[in-house]
Amino acid sequence: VNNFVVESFADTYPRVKFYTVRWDETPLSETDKFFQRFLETESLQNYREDFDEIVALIKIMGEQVGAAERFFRFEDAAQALPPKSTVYVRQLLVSDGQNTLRLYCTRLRDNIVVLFNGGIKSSQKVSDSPDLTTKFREAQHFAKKIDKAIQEKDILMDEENGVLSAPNPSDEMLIY
Amino acid sequence: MVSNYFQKAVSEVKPETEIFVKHYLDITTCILNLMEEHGMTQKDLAAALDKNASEINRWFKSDHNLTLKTLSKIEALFGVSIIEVNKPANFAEKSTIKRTRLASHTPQQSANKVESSIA
Repeated sequence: VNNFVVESFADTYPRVKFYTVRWDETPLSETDKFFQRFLETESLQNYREDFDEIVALIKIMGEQVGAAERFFRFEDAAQALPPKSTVYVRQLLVSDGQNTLRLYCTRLRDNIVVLFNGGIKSSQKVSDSPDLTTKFREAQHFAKKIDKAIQEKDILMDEENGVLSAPNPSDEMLIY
Repeated sequence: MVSNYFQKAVSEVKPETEIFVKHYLDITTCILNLMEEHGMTQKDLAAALDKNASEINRWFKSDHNLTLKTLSKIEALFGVSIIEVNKPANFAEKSTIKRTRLASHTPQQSANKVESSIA
């Protein structure tokens, strides 16, 4: 039930290749769900400027500046991070602090980022933001599983070219 | 491969939003580099600018916009220019012309012109 696929989200930028995750047997990736929701839901259009800042940040990182560590920040780090893990759940750090949206991700390298889902942060803590609690928990699940898959070589990481692939490149990167 | 939703979102981003994010990334990167060159921590920078360390932290953690006044203080502190204004060769000359035109066309003259056209 918890199986998911790691797949490309935007791989045409020179500085960063963005990946996403999709629950197995579902049509939309988690990041597409985030984008679809904020693009198409009429009642969420008042978040449009915040959303656009996230979009611009992804584009500028991909095109020009790379996925530097400081463009990301931890979310509820104490709860989120297993002490010895090398992969953490982060959120994109978007310029203006008035931004109330969060898009979770894991930054694997300066040139590889896996984007997850996100939503509206309505209070100081994620646990008090109903729109984020499930997505944050899922993001933790994705980040841990991806970390494990990379360590166990179920996902191969070509750091030079920013490419993730299955051991057999024609296979999907399915994670159990 | 690029997600269709992402492509759509990128195509709809307003130019000013992209410019704002780019400026923010460039300016904060520039300040962080200057701090690193001078072996300065956020606490040191706060002390030098007479600000709270928490405020400095917010600049880099996205909770606070830098003001032009603060940027000027940082430029003075490090003795370098962080923001540059594109000025054409005849920038000063053009500004003078504009001011001259404005001065020769006072609000009273404009009002008179309107009145005479109504009459």
